[in-house]
Amino acid sequence: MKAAILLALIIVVSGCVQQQPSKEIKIGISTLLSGDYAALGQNIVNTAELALDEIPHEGLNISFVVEDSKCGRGEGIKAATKLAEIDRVQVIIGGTCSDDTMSAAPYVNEKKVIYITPVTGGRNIDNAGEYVFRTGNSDILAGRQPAEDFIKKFNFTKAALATEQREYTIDIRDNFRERFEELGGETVIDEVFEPNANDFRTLILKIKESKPDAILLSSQIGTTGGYFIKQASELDLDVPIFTTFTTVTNENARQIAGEAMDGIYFYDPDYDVKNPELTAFFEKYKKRYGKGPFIPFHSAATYDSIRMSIEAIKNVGYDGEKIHDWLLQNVKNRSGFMGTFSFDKQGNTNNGFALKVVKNGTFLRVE
Amino acid sequence: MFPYFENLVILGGIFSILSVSLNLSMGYTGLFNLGHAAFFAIGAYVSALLVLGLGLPFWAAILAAGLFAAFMGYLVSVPARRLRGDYLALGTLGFAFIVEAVLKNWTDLTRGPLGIPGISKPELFGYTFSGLESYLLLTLAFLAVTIFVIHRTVNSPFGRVLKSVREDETAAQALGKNTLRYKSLALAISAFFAGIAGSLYAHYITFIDPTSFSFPVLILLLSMVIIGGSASIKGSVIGAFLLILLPEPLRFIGLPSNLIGAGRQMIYAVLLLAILLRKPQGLFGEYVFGKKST
Repeated sequence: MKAAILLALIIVVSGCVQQQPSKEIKIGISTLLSGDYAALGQNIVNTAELALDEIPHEGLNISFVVEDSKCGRGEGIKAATKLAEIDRVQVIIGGTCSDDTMSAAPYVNEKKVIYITPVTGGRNIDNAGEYVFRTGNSDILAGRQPAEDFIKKFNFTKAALATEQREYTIDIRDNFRERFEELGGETVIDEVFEPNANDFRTLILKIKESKPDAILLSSQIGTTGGYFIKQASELDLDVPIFTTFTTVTNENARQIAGEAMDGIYFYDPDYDVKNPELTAFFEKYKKRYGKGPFIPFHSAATYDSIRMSIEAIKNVGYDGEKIHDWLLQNVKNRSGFMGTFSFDKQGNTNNGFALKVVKNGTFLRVE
Repeated sequence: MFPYFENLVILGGIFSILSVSLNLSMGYTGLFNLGHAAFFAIGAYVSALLVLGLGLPFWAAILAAGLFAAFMGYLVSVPARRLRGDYLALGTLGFAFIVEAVLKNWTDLTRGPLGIPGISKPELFGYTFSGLESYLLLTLAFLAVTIFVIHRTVNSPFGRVLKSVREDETAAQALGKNTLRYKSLALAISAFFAGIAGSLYAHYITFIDPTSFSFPVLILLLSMVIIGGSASIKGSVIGAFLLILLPEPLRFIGLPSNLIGAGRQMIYAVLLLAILLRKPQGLFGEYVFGKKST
């Protein structure tokens, strides 16, 4: 009992200390900072801190409050309430998985706190409410774009689908099938595999048997994709493989696949690589943190999110409701690190994907 | 800042319902039940699907969630009740994996890994429990009912039989008690409240998917019961709130951003270890797991 009272006291006291009024503008960051993929969230925090130094904000005393959302439901809403109620933030950059974003959504909508996710792609986010914005790329396009390319660009009418059993990848598969079959394509085989699978030989033989024109391989973090590609080449599967960017950008997956990675097509979230500001920013990132961004498009989308938040605060002050209206009105054909984009009524961007191919270890854009 | 605490108390309340009900099967009856997170999942999915799919009101759905979870609890107990100790643990753990696999793969019903978004908030006579305050009251009401029912159960003649099963099943049988039936009932009642908690959770968070109820949740529930102390309702409630609240003060320590995730988790683990080293039977426990051989 004593322990519980003591604990409650600690919380209350520390809460009160934080409560003192000040002109300081605190922006919340809620992202994944523990577990196997903590590097994802660390990249977002690093980018945010560097972006704040780079983006002019004279007269505004802006700082970040960082919380670990652990990509979990309970944790997502805990982080959001803590940031909004204790630190009084009006803008939260965050949500690294659908779990934390979706669980925070009802709360931020009710309290009119802006929640901008630079990363979460899931279809669920599209309808998460008016205060949830997304600068990253939607899974809807991640599925529809390959479907259209298969039919229109390559004239592939028979597709084989190998999909990891995760929300992100299942979402891509469903969107692909919908669009592909609408355009007259035929899905000859549609198989799902476990997130930690590493033996795909049976699956590959089944795919071989079904004689597709091309394979769409969707892997959550890429390692499964790496194994698939290696074993496909061992089994002489002579069908072009299209995969998610994770398979190719993940260094472990590249090592697993080895030389078999050559000639693999992948859809890379399209950030503006030709933008000299972006190149300069990534250079500075490398200098400050010792290596480049863990996933470049996460950095690009985070930078854009912070930049437009600061612009909104400059124009309308630090108030969630006003920032919400400002974002919807002013983010139209805006150019940033993610290219030129607009927010639709749901607060989603139309950022697409670039089809690239691996050639001798480098990635070439396929026009 | 009140909503911040309200949210924590809501989560603490939901997990208290879970830990108190787990304590009925684990602490009072001595069944090493590793299927509790699965009953939690069943409750959440049944409730969400009934409300979204058939348009049932929340009150019918939460009752159905509890009853269905209880039914599943009874079903599991039929093959499992001849097992004890480690074997029962493995049996119920197997059940938990089956539930997770069904939730992941029966995509027509559960939408698989995509999860179920947009679960509505409960309504009563036109009043919606959408705010944190109202949901807090709702949760505490259910917690009070849970504590009342479990308290009455364990302090009844029925409850004494459960304890005798835990202490010495053969002796209880020798006294003419049908211990198998008692074990099944204990598991079913325990699962009933896990189902209720699942429904409350689903309608609070409004988004569920199979990973919401996977292995780490089970570990959390077990820790709550073990730290609170087995066969103690007070212990279970305090254990649940302790584990939900303990990470919160750590948010204010002001660690550098590259240490936030790992640093807080390490401190959290050290605190838990300290509690268990000081009080191996848990804060209010009357029975240490594995100490008595049944």
